[in-house]
Amino acid sequence: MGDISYLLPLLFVGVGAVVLMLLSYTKSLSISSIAKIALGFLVLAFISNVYYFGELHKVYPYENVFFGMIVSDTYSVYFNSILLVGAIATILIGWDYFRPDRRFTGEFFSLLLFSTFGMMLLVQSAELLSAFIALEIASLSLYVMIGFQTDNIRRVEASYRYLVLGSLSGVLFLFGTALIYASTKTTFLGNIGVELLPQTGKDISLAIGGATLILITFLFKISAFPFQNWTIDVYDGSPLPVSAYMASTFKVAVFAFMLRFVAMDLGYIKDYWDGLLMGVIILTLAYGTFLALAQNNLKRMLASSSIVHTGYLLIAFVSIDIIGESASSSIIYYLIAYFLSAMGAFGLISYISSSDKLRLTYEDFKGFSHVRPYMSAMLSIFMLSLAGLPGTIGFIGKFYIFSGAIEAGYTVLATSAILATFISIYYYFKLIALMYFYPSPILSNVPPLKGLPPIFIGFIAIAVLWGGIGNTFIAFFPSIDFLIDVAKLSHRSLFLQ
Amino acid sequence: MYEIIAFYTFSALVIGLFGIVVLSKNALYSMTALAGGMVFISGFFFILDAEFLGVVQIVVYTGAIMALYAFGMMFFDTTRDVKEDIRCKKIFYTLSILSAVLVLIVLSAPIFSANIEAIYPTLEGVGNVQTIGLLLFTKYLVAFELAAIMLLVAMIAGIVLVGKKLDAQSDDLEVAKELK
Amino acid sequence: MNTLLMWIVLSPLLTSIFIGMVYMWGLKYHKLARQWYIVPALISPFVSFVLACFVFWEILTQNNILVYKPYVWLSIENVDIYMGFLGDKLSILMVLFVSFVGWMIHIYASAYMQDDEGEGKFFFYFNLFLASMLLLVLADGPLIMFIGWEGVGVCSYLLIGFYFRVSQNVVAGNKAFIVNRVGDFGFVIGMVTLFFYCTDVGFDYASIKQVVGNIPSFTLAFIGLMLFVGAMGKSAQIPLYVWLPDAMAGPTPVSALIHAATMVTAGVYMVARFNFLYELIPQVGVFIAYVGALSAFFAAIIATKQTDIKKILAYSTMSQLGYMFIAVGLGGYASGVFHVFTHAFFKALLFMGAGAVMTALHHEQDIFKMGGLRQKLPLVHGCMLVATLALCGIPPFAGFFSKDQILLEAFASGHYLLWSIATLTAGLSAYYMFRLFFVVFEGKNYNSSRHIHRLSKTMQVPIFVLAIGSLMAGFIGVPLVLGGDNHIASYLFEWTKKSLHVEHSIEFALMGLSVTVALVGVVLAYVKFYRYDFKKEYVSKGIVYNKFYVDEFYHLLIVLPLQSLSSFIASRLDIQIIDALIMGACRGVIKGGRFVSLLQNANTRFYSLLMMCGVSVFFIYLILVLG
Repeated sequence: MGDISYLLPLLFVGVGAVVLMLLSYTKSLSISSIAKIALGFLVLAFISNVYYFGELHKVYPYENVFFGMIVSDTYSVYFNSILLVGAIATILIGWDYFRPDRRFTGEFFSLLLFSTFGMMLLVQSAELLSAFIALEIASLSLYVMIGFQTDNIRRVEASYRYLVLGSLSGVLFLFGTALIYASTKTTFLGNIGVELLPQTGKDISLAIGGATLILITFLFKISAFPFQNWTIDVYDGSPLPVSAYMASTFKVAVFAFMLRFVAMDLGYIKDYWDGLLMGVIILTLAYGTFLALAQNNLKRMLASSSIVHTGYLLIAFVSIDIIGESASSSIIYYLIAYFLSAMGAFGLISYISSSDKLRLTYEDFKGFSHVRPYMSAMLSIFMLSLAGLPGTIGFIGKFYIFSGAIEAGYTVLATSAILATFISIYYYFKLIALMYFYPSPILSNVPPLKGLPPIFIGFIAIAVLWGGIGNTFIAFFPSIDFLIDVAKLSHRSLFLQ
Repeated sequence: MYEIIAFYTFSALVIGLFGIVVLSKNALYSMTALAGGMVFISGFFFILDAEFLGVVQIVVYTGAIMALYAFGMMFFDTTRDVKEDIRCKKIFYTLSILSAVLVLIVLSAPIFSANIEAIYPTLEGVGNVQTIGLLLFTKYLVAFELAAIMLLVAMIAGIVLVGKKLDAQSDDLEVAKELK
Repeated sequence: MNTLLMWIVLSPLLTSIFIGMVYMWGLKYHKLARQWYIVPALISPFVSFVLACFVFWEILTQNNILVYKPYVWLSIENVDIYMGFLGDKLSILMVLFVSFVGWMIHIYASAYMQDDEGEGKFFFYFNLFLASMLLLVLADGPLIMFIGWEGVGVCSYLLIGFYFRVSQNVVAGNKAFIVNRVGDFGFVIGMVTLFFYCTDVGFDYASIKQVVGNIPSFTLAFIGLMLFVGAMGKSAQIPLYVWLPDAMAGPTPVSALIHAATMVTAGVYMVARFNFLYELIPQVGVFIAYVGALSAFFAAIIATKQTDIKKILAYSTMSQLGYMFIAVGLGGYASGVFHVFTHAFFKALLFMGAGAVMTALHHEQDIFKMGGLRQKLPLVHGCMLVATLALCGIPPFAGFFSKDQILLEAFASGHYLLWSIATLTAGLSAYYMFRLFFVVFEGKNYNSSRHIHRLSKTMQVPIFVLAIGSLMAGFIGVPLVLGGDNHIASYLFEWTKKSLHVEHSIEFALMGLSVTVALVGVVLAYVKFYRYDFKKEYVSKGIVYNKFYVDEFYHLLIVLPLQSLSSFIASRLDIQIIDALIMGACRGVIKGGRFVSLLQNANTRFYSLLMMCGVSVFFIYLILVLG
């Protein structure tokens, strides 16, 4: 296996995207068979990716051609796995949702693969320019995926809004890159950090400005406080599976890049951000919490709560330089926890809504458990996990983050995060209470559990519980300890030479 | 000295023109201002001794804006709103004369100082086509090629969004519900 | 060979899962024939038994200890806790009779539960019960033991409340579970304290054995006491015995299983398992012995006045367990285990017999409504007689040898008070057991016209087998004075009391005395109850009949204050103070939410303005920081 094996996941996804683009021209293929092909490519990519999972390595494939712009390390393999699972999950849970009468065509899957490709590239890029382009590939595809149903004004509006604001943030990224280049004469991760060391005696204020601009883009993409306004409207306006995809994977990809950038290069600059990020985190938590409380629409509630989760993640992000490895691994772990829970919640709601009747508001779920007990149970599991109750993966994730924050001395942040968690129980449990404590359902014609999506969502639910119980109850089965270990390895692989 | 003057002139012009882009309610004015702003931006590149980029800036953006222009005219029929109403001829004449003088100065400037050099050249020797080509096709090859993929995505996006609608019935119920 | 240990546990566990699934399937779709769960349920204990025999043989011939650790179950800091199985002489002996007696009870239950609609469920619980017990016994460390410990508790709860349509039974199940939880609480505290000292070496018995010497004796005594609190709960000793009589609410095979092979013996086994710990704290051992003696005596007194056949047996179990604790408390672990061993046979037999009698009489439990069953149930009569004699300690039945060893040890250790209580209890035991026996089998029966339900062969075979067991089981421990080899003592050499020197003459005298006391009890019962006249209504009242009002006392002292506290919290504290506070805060927060959502006005330009404001704030901050 040469260098090509490290690039195989990327290649599979990229080639798959192009193939799907060409195939979608023919009218003879039904949309479900195109979905199957897309799934095939993703699974191939996933398999070729998992091959290196948990193995400590760092390789710049074809360094003489690519000049180290693309890197493959334990870290990227770890995140690529999440992204690929996210893409696969999106297709699976949207199996019934992506129908021709909803104006979905084969191009949609091509775009999905392109956006996955962009995200994977973002995770693997070791250079700012290619990172920018990767980010734009991912975003561009997402804009279109959101607005794919062009006859629905809400979709187009969401797409447009995301396009405008996203481009604005993209510009800041580019500007930041330019400033960093101006200050350090390089755009390669790793080299930047060397140039920024205080020993060089350079004035690095330009680089600080540039890094801050990149930070702003990052905060925008993960919807942290002053840049969060788009989140609700865009999530709400998107087709449900796309919301799921966006909520779970994009955040992961962006976080992956930022974590790499900060860990490798900005260790010194990060100190300047401390107070800033503290403010951002507290405001993000407060804003997201308040917003989520005010929502009646489930999708909007999930979108708002994703802002709160961003806040949690940023807490670990701040504590990186003090307790580096454990903070990074707790971010990585929390990303998985959030990924699973959000994917499950969005996926299940989208499955429930894939019939003609939509259930979107809290009211629609009154007495739901009497009609569909299993679905209610799964939905409850996801809500519990999002709220971070013990026994679910969300709890373990939160536990690592909060304890890390306290260890690093950010007691204020930990306290406010715990407060936010406390309040979050209100809006998560409201759904559970409505489902279980109302005698008669309002809407009763829900599709029964059948086909692929419910099975897959069931698996996610089991994974959520499995991650929460946290031990090898069954012999020789990987547990969360394994994931944590790999997360730590991933962090270590960043600093390999 | 010249560079400083040039920089501030160009800056003022660019900001002013882009201000018009954002603030004007007439699409035609905005686009014209945009084109002007883009051309002035190229000035910065020339100041920095990056002639190639300057030229590319003019060619690419002016071309792009021409296309935008045409589309804008087609879609919005903006010409109707524009009334060529020149009330004060003096201003017109003054501006014309000033432009002529400016052109004269610009063209004759090299006579007075043949060796204007950049104060902050980006890199010694860079600015010519060869160096940029070398960089693009060696060190930044990946980025360059990824840009192609990005354009491909953009192309698909354009086709998908504008392409002919399928004749299937839309999910009216869904739309109604979500609008609520 | 080592993997067999795991399969001993897995066999009933997997079977129980299988039965559970079959049962669920049957509920959901169409009902399956009962063979679907009867056959696996009967095979699995047998498999365990056979495997145990193999292991036993291996240990006997090779004289080694088998350990099997399939995987790391928990990893705490640097201590890896394995899912480990330990097969040594003690545990394998326990496994042998647990699986054998369990198997017998399974066979018996298959006949007893024949017409019950929840039969599948019953065997699911039953096998799980057995699996938990086997895990408890075979565990190689306290934590793994605790899994079995809790599993046993859960299963007993499920089985005692098996007839859950009668609320009384559910209360009984709850009582068993809650009282056991109190004991478990102590056990957990003991275990955690112990773990505190074991962070370097690991948490299996072998590792603990290395460190117990380093633990300060006061702490060690505390650990020992706390662990014993757990044993009190499981093995129904004063003061945590109250659940045992109520546990009779379950089907009779459950009582047999709980009392004979599983659950109640867990406490004794645990103490024997921790012998290395208790050897260092003899004063705690004496305390245990006294608790055991008191329990034995107390239970025996209560049993003399009970009328419910199963409750009499329940109190007799408690009494016998008291004997075992006397033995283990005084360091005679081997004799304690020996009594556990013999007790398993005759107690299972007694319960089976009682069950048979009840089945024959259409679920009649009051002994004073039975009578004269000797002619009608000759086999049951004979077997019950064997079991009763065994329990009373009449030679040569099983109970004699084991009980005698305990009495001998009590005497030899110099605790004469213990010895006299125990001897007195032996007399009482003989009295109440023969009271039961005479009333049920010999009493004049005036309702002889009553139809007697025929007993099936499947029910009679295990009774017969166990009767042989009760007759023979004692012979593995015939003491040296009687010309025996005392195999059990040499087998469990590690667990025997080392310094035990009593003159042979005294030994004979003690033996004679205990037998005499027992015979006195028998004679008393004979005088009073032989050919008991059923015309006279048996008046049941008095402090003894009401079990010294202990239940009522507990109710008054513990349950009522708790109830009033919780109703105070629920109605006052919660609604009037906490709810008001919380709801007030909630309203405030939700108002805040409304305000925030105003910012969310879906205006893109406004959003971008906010974004640019954010960027500006960031840079103002940077300028401030960078100076």
